[in-house]
Amino acid sequence: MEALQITWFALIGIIIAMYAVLDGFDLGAGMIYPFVAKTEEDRRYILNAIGPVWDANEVWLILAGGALFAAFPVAYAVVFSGLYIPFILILLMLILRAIGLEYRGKMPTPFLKRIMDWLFVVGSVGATFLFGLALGNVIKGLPVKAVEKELYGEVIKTYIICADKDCSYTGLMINLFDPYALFIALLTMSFVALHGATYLAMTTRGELRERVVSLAKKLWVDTAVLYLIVHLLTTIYHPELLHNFLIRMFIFPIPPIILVAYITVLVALNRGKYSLAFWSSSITILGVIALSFVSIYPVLVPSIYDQNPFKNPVNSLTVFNASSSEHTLKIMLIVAAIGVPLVLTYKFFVYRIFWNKVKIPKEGGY
Amino acid sequence: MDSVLLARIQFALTAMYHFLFVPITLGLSLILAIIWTKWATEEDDEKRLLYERMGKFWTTLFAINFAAGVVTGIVLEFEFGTNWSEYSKTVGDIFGAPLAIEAIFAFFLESVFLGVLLFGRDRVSPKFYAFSAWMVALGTNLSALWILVANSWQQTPKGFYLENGVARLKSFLEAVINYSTPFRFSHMFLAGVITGAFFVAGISAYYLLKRRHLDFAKESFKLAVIIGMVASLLQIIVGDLHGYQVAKTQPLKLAMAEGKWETEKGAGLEILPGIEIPKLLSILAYHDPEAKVYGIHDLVKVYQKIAKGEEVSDDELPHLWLDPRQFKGRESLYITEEDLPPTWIPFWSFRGMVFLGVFFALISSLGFFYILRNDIEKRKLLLRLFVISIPLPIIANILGWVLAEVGRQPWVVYYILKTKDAASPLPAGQILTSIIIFSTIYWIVFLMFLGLMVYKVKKGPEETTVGG
Repeated sequence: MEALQITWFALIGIIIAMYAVLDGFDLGAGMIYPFVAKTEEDRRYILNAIGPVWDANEVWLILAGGALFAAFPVAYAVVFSGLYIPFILILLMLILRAIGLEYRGKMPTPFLKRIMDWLFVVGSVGATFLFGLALGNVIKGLPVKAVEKELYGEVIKTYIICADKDCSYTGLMINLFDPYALFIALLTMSFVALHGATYLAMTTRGELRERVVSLAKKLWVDTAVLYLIVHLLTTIYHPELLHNFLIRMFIFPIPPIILVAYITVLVALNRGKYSLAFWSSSITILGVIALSFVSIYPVLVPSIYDQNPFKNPVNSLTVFNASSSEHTLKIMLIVAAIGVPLVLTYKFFVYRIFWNKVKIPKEGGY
Repeated sequence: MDSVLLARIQFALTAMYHFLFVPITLGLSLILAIIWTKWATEEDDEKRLLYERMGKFWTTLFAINFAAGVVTGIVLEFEFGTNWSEYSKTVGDIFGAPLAIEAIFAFFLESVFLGVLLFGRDRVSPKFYAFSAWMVALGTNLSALWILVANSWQQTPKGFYLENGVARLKSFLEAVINYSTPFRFSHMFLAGVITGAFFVAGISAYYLLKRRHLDFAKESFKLAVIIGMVASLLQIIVGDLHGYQVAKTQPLKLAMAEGKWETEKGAGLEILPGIEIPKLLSILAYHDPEAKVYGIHDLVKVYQKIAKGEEVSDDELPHLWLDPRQFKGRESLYITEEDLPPTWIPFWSFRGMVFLGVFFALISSLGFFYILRNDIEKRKLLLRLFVISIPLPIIANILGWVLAEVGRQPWVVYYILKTKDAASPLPAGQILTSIIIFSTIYWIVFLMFLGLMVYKVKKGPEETTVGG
């Protein structure tokens, strides 16, 4: 049972990492879109560079939601109801973005196309910011409490969001715009924008590419600075994470990999090796997410009511107290073992048709 | 207003809105796959060009629909967590799986290959292009399958046990098939095919009336009407079987849909208030003219007895597949008549859906008849009916889901969890805020969707250019 729970923790991590790397580049492209695209041709070039793949990228988010629901239903229920308004706004941003992207090319007038551009940019920036903000709030800790409640004459142990002592008011009142969460949101935005820029550097040409590359270099510095700040703040908020990090020997290779990959991004940008820059940026993101997941294990959602959530989780949700039954985890593991390789195989073949070969179609497209 | 009611309003709003777009894509994806296959295999150049124009035009309309369907669908994936956290915690062990499976086996398939369909016609071979269209159709309909699996488990739960107040999976296969998935998926699949077919037939009829794009319109109309006729005739059989399944699993839903308060032997069916056909309800529900149809009063009393742990004899309940007595002593079965929704909602949504269904079978059969006689262009009235009918299958779908979901009340998972115990304990203000946000953006999206559809239809398919 424990092995299954740990496997699912790792799988959720992998799915989130896939989402961050894949949808990250099209979200990032949307964020830097107004800064680098000067002409209508530039705009269409960027949109057609992400057009054939963005939707399939976003499916990783839906899969993350579904997998979290299936494997850790308690965490799914607590996180999404606890951060209600941010997640509703994320959904709103994803709607705006998709509508802007999908309907722009079909709009008859330049004015309507400009409005669609605007939706696409606001949605991309907003969704990324809110993802970061939600992530920051989860890492900082949610007011989760282990309680007993009565349902149909039975006393049930469950976890709910308690904003005050006696859980009479369950709506979330914690300050979402806490400075720590805000820094994580900023870091997320900068990181995703950089990732999007490396993707566009790889797929665009000419002056557009020059603008993208020079912006990418600036974002590289911003991201590095923000990462250091967030790292420092995390050790202040959760010193146990550093402890976890130090005792889990097997993650020692990850930090040097992150460092090398991240430096490679800049070197590759300077030398005009844009594919290398994109792949290095992808590895950096994978590394950072792997590092985070290994450090927080076995906690999924730390509770602010725990003295030390990472050492002694009483109210915090962990892979052990929030998971589905053994039977469900087993069935879903079989599903994942068949489904994920299948998806990756056809995704690889289809992406290869479009990869690095942007065409602006005369009709159709964006 | 209390937050459970607001959460229900929000779910009804977002789910119905999502369902304005989805059924068209279910049927239209299949029609597209057929058209692109004909295109890929046709030898004759002129016909090939015709199929290409058809494929391109319907693919554009499909894309507009698909985008609206996708963006509104993602909301639903997370709504179980945001608005129904207690539901998710109680039945997540079973209910989460179909949603995850849907993402992995359906959404990836349709989104990856839709990329090919929209961007790849000059980059891949015609055969692979047609294959991609089939993969989109498969993905779209697989996604409907897994959603129907999830919803059918809520309607007629099976393959689980209750432990510490939480439902746990006992048999995956039983939970997936349960008592109603095959019936309900077939019913939804055919409904999707009818919706897509009437969408294509209606727009083609519009061109036939306007005498524009004649060859294009005739070919599209013919294809759509044949598909629509077969599906709507089959739907009459499947709909009857689905009704039989409801009678065997959810007798209270049946009683509410028929407004039957008293138990009756050889019960008649009220076609409309005041017009009753003797014995027909017993025949339809149990395929037996003398069968006893249990009324709301008696059923509620029986459920109360089961909840209190009292013995209930075989005579007090119809012969059921999903026997409530297996949950003897569980307080979730304790319901009162005040807990029930107003019966006019299931009563009228049921009748609306059935009347529309019969209407679809009639006009598509008429359309087919005139296609065979080869004078469909002259049947102005029938063509006009087809144009007006474009939104009717969508209305029938929504009525069907209203019947299914309202008819399931007061439970969210039949017998084992009440709707009022499933919502997130959120302040009403937050839910109201989200309702306002979604209603606003949905209106804007809907207007854009409609505007784009009208614009693309008025523009029409591209005309053949000589030497092209």
